[in-house]
Amino acid sequence: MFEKIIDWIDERTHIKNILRENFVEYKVPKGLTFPYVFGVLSLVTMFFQFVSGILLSMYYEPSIHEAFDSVNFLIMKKVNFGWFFRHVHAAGANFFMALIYLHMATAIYYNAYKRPRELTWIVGCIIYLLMITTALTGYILPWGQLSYWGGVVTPEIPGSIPGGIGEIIATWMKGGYRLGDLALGRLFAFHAILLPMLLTIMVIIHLILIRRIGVTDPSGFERKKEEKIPFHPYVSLKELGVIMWFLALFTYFVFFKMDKFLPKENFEPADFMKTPSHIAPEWYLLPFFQVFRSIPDKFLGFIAFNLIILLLFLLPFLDFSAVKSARNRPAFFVMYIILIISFTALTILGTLDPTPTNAKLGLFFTFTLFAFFISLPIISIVECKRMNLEREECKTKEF
Amino acid sequence: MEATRRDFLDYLIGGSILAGIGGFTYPIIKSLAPSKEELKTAVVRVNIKDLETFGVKVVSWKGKPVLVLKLPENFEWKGDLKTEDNIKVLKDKRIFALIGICTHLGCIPLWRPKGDADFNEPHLHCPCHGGIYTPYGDVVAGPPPASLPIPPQKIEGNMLVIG
Amino acid sequence: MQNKGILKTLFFTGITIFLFYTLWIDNIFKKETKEYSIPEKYKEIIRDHKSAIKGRQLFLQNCSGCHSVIYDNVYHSFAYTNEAFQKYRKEYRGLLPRDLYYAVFFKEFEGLKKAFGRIPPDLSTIYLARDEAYLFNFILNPQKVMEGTPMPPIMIGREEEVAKIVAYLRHVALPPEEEEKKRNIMGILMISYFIITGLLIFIKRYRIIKNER
Repeated sequence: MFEKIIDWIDERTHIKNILRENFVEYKVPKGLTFPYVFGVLSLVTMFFQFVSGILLSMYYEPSIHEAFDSVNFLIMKKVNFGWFFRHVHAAGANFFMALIYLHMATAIYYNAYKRPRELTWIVGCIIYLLMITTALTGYILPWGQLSYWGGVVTPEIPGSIPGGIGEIIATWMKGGYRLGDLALGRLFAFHAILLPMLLTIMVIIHLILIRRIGVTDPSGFERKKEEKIPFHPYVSLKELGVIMWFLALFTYFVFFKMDKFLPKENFEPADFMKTPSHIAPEWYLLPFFQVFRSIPDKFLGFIAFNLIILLLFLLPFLDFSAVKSARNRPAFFVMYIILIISFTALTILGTLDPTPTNAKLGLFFTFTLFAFFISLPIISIVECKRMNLEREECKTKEF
Repeated sequence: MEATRRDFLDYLIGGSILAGIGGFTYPIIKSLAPSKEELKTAVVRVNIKDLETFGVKVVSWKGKPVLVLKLPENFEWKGDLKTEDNIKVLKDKRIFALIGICTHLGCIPLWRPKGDADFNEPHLHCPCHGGIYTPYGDVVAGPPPASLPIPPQKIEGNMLVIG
Repeated sequence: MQNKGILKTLFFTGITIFLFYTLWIDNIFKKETKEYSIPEKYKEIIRDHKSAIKGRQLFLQNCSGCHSVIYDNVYHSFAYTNEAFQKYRKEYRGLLPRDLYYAVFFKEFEGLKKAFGRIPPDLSTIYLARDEAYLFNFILNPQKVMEGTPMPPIMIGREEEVAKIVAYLRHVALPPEEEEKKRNIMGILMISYFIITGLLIFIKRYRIIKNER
């Protein structure tokens, strides 16, 4: 009976073929390292975000009078398991961002952005930007003190564009001069409908591209199909197992360690006459925040952190030589470690109070962060020279 | 030996993943079910001590209007009935509750203790399409197809417990 | 070559764990000074769910002139004689919306605003927003903790009663005791489920690879 139903469906959709093509005939390189799982882990987290988000949106009310109580009373106290979904959603957002960063770090390490995967990388960067926007808008919705002041401060950053343009953008983002009902309704629509929709489309494109072209070989050499192994069962089982253990860690945070994901200050309803004692953005924005803060001139700071995002998009074109994977590129490996250290340092500096020493350190790590991007074309030129290749040849050489 | 052990492992993994999916859907289904607060409203207690003869009290039970009626000791329905479901159950009772939703199209019938121009007996009159019920909720005239439903109820001292 | 690989793995794992430990668990660079303390005796009273019942009475007697705890249906003492309020309260079974509440008692709230400079906050979630020691010391002697606060020092020298009031605020903010226990059991069960299932899957994968060799 069951077989017959499957056959009936298969005749009309070729589902068996599709599954075989995407899981068994889809070949991956041998010796994939552990960091390759961060991609699938973020996919799993996204799924949990969607489910918990849909359930939360049933009870949330986007109005400045009701929002706080609909979250803290209705969801946390009245709805069965409402607390669980809120915890999953809040922790999930943080884990999602963390996994995206780790996924990007992996891609940079193995040079997964290089030919022919430039588009995969750029789509990934778009996903990252969408993620940040989704996280930011979602952060404002509970309408606690931190939410409100986060919502007030964020539009101030583009507000640093001179010539009155910044002010127009800031007012437009707030939906008025003061953050109110209009802004909240708008943010809710963005957070719950528009951004997830765009995110889904982008993630599907990202996945299709990966399936078409395949993942990068960690060794840096593209192997022939016969030398690769089928995705199922070798990699799929490994990923499933890691997903399970990842969920165990995630559950630990959801049940026992929520104090960093639901910060204390946000349990106070928004009060537009009283600023909380210290406000900093969520941790995933801290590197940008620290860059913005360390540079004395506000507008220059704004340009600097936008430049980082732009450079991230341009990574495949900055690093143009065909040599792949940090394993084969000692100079790149050194710069990569500098990147990781400066990112970590900027994040941690962002959590600290803005003392003069911290600002100086911040400036130093801002320079090292930019040094990574600047070094990429230089490294590429040196590598091309060593192989005695012209620029164009060097870009397209196959290994 | 090796083969059977492998099969057993497969079943174990399959079962455990199924259990996981089940465990994940449980809170979702549970969160969509009525909350504890809501479940408390599934039992309604009505004070019937101050209810007068031919009086009515309207309460809400599970989101539905419920009419609590008190009839005099010697009340008896004379006349024709189109349906006879309720009178069999409620004949000996003087105080009882009916769900006040007309079985025709869901309007709320009005209690007419002294009758009105059309009908000179105590009755329930549905204003939408003119359905007429006896005080027990049986249909006398009009379009309703069935008697008014009776909610589960019992009398505890001065209280009528519905639900 | 092998050693180099291990070193790399150690470095990247280490820096990842270091970063997220700092962000999510404990920031070792940020010294958080504990300014306030509670004697051990009163801590126990606060932890005891039973003292919350007495705390509620004490709250109604001492605090409800200015503060409400709307999540527990405790409103300002002036509210209960108002007819419109009684009607609305029945209609909104779970929680009276704040704007409606402020609208019904506009005159009274304006009076409070005039007397204290601002409307004294609702205390439903205050336990989650401040830490225990801060609340205890603040209620005991507001001026000592926050100079210039309009809150009158009415509880000076009544430590035990203050502890009970804090216990009440804790009781309102946190889930009920048995619910808390249920959540802990649920958490432990889920974690062990994921670990065991993951283990089974890895055993399966190991067998497949071994069989092929």
